[in-house]
Amino acid sequence: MNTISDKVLNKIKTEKIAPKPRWQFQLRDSGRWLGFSLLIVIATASVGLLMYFWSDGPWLHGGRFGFGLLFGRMPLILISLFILGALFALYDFRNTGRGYRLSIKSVSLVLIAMAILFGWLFYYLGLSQDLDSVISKAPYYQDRQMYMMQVWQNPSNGLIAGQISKIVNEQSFYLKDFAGKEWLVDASGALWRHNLIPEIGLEIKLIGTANGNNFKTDEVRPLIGNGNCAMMQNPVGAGSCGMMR
Amino acid sequence: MVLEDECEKHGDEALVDLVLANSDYYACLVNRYTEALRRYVFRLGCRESDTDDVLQEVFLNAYMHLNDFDKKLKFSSWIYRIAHNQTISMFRKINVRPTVELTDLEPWQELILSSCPSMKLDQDILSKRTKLVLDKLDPKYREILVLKYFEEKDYSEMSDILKKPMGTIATLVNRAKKQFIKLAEGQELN
Repeated sequence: MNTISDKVLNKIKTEKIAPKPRWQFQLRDSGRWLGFSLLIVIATASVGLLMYFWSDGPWLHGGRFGFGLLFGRMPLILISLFILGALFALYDFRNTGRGYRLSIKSVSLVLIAMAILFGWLFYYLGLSQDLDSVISKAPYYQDRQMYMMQVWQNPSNGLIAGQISKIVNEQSFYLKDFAGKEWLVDASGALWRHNLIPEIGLEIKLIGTANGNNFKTDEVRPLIGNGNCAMMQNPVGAGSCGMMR
Repeated sequence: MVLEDECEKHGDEALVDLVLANSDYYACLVNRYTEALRRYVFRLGCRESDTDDVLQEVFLNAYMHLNDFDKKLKFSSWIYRIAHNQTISMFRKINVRPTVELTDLEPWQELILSSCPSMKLDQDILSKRTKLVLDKLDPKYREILVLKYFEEKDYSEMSDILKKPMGTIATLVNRAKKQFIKLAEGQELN
């Protein structure tokens, strides 16, 4: 007589133990896959926003500032979100079905590559900018403004941002930067991204050269966004839409 | 009551379906795996006096989770996994380090002799050395060696039991062998 077998069957019968229903396990598995997908979306959106931040920061300017600003507080929050999203997605994946059979290294690489690829697509399609404007009022996201100020309040490195306070003529205007300083801007021959039209109150960013209170600008961008035309808006001229004045 | 003949007609996976329709068939699976799992949990370091309790928990747990059994896996891997987890969780619960009973030294002695063929040890020294090796061998390496050499599981089954990738299993087997040989040769016993 197998006592274990008798004890087990006896317990099953006397305590009316039944196998847990299949739907409970299906629900658990669906939850894991849903969690996995959400985490990938978080990692992807973080990469997309990070690319958006960096594209509008010092990255495109050949490291005029060094690369210290690449890692301001906001980018660090996004990098952390990306890493956490990818890590939890990895953990989640390894608990789904036979996910444990794949090596951690290869799953991590695939997850990171996926997040970067989709993040780039997110950015390329202009969704990063949309997301940025949707969540710009969220707590802590105000840091983004501080980051932008850090990057764009750098006249010695040829970057200023502020509001047009007075139009002098077609080629020049006064700009009050966010530190309150007034600049006479020479915009002759400058590229006006996003087909911006100069008008009083317009908030812009300028790339050029500062000299005392004068600023010779080569490029004018809207304050929010890098002024590149997203693929959806202008499939032909992505990245270069604007006009010379 | 299901007769033994009836049990023998069916493979594990078919029995799982039968159990879900009629719990009496569960006796077939319990009887089929009791001795193998008893040896296994014992070799993981479970005390002989605790093995029956652990096995009951294993079979009850498996019964409750039968609908979670993935038929692409071997049933034996699945039930070994449950036994492994139950044993480890028992160690944690009572906060003890796995032990090895002196009654189960023989297979380990054979492993020592086959791993270190150049060693000439008389039975007394071999027994003492074996006990020392097992006391010092990292539990995670012990479970790998048990699965590989005593349960004779292949890497794919070990991967399913321990829920680790096969590459990791291969690495663990190598490390476990190295540590085992070092200990068996007495290099780390002083």
